[in-house]
Amino acid sequence: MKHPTANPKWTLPEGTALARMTREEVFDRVVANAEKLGDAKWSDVVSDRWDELFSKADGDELAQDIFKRFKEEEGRPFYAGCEIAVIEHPDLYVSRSEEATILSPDDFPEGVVGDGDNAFQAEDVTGEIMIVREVSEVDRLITEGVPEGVIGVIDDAGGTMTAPILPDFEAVICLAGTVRSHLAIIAREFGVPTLMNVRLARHLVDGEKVTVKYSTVAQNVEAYFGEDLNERAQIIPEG
Amino acid sequence: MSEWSIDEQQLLELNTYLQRTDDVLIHNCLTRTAQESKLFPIMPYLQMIFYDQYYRMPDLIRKATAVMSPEEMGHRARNSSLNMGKVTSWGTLNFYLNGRTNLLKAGMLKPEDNVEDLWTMVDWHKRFNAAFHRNAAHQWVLDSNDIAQEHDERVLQVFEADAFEANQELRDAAAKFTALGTQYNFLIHCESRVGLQCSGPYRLGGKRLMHTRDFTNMSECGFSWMDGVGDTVDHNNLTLVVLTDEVTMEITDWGTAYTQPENYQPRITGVGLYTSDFLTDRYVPVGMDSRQDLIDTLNEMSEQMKEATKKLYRRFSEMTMNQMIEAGIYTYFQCASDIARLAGVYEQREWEYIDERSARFWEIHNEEYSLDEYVSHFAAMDGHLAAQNDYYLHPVSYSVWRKSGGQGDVPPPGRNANLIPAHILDGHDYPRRVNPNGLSDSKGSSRLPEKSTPYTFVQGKLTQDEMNQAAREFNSPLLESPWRNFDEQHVKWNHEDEDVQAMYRYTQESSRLLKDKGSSLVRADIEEIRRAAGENAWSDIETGAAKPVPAEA
Repeated sequence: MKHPTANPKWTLPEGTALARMTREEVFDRVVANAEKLGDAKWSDVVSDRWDELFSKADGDELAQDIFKRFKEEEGRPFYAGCEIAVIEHPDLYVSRSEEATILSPDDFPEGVVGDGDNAFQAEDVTGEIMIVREVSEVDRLITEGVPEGVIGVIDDAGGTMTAPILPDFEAVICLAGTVRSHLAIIAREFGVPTLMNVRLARHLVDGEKVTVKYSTVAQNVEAYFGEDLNERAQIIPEG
Repeated sequence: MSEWSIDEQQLLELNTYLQRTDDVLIHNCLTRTAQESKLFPIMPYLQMIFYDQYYRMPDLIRKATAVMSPEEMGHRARNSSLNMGKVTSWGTLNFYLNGRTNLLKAGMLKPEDNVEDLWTMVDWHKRFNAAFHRNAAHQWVLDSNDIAQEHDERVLQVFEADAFEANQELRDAAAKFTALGTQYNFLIHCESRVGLQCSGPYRLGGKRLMHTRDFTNMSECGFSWMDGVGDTVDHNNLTLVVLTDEVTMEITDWGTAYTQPENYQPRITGVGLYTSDFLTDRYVPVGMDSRQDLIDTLNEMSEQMKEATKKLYRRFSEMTMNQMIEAGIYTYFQCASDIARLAGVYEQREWEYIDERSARFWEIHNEEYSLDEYVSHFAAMDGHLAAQNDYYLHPVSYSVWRKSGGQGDVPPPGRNANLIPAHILDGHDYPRRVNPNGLSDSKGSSRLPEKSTPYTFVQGKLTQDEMNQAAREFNSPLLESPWRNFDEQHVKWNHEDEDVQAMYRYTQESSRLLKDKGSSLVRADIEEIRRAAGENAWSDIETGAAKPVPAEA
């Protein structure tokens, strides 16, 4: 059976290598399986013979092939956003935040270690950095409490990872997301000063003291629609 | 075997709806969110739900609409806060369409395949939303420039009249409740916002606005992971009424309120609190006997949610990755479950399993590919099967380019709407339904424990059978003629008629200030009623509550 959509007149390339190779592997398998179906009617195949077009075994096999091909071509395992993926499958994943891009110090004014989009305008905060990346760390802080005056550094713009302890931070620096992300929405509701989408000249270190310019005007929520961005709020090391 | 066919009028209508739906999707994906979570495997569950929605939802909708029309469901959702509303009806259709996109791009469908299912989904969405948005008369919130005015005047008048003027203690209690409720709700819903829905803003005069914030599925509900966690939270659904001064606001199709200034809490001037569900036809006041009662209730609810958050966090942290993916899938899949509950045909087992056809794609949807696929389909609109002809400009991506001042090249001709080819009118080889034999064609399994506790309602805890029986026996004069058809266009000309007066009095039955006041009230009357009760009218209050607040209302 000739596959009905195998040869579109217009095409666009996929934006990433993984999207391209996954589409190629899956689509090619479906086309090959369709050819094995002889004179079968497409409508019967879609409805009743779906597992002959693409089976669970096809999916499982291709997942392994794609990983192998990806690792060979890209030289790394898959990125994972969530912690549990790395814990359960350390062979398959590396945490995306481990690979966070650090910019050159030349990208920032002298004495500035980073900047971000302000979720809302508040007073500047000076405090000690506490990096929170793991569920077990959050679990410990639920029991022991967050020390006073701490600026939490979070690499997740979601609203759940630090849910039980977020209001206990003096302020937050988030290495991802936008001012429309769930974390920014919740931070505004709690009134916890928060920078989103933070870029750094170097990694921040647990216990180091910084001042964050939360008095900077809040980032324009429409900026992601091509309109003007407001000034980013700066992070300045103390001492 | 269905022999359903589409005519040209239906085809053009369907394609127009598909394009508009996609414009709204792409707009929101480009501007509203960053899909990520360190706790939840959000991208795999987001992609996997699309398949289950494609394979099962049309038949689940047919099952419910055999009992209750989409219009009836829309009226019910407008009269009390259900989980089914803006964002969940959006999800019900869009998750299905996104499943269709995934399967099209994998070469497992042609655009015209299962066109009867597609029609069923679009028809349900169109009719539900037309009834739900009857007052605003928009299909999409984006079409009304991101204002979501759903409630009827008779409801809004009670909200406005009965709200307590905010002193600092009430303002703090409301802010804390909103923050903890939002956070707890994100956690219940595996990082998604489908349990949070705002409506409004509604005009109060001057620079004053009113909006409502619904928090749903807060207690033991349709999610098995809430068993023994939500039991200490008294109310399953809560609606917070918030009055503000000198705050501008937009509310999106995803039900989220964005304010200017962002920290609007100091500008809260009034607050009210209500509960409701699909077995109530009106909003039931919660802690509304006095301002102090409201403050105490909000603080008590905040403590309940805070403790439940800790319990739920630990429950999720004990799950495997696959269990968390399933929890996320069920969260999104159950967006539509109120339609079965409303119809009294809800069966928990139909809403918590993974279809074997979806399971084919489980291993392929690793974390990175799932994110890449999301961006490819719903933001970049790229890929082998995504292109339109060389001249095509997508309305959203071109708009972004234009607003950027034309930076870079004109966007590529990507298109995600996947319209139905007109050759279908001449007859071609395509299936009508994904399940030729109905829901019995769907088989699957689950890794999560079965739900074991009753469901939470205003009237108490109900088992599945009790819930379905109560739903089938439910009736309300608000949902029957003539009141059902007393929309605002009728009220405008007939507010003095006894039938209209009776409908307003019914709505006002539990109101502390408007009880029995009837249907001819306008804002000036409400202001006088508040003054007569020893409370400030909202126009009497200067920004920041400069005037003294009465000691106790």
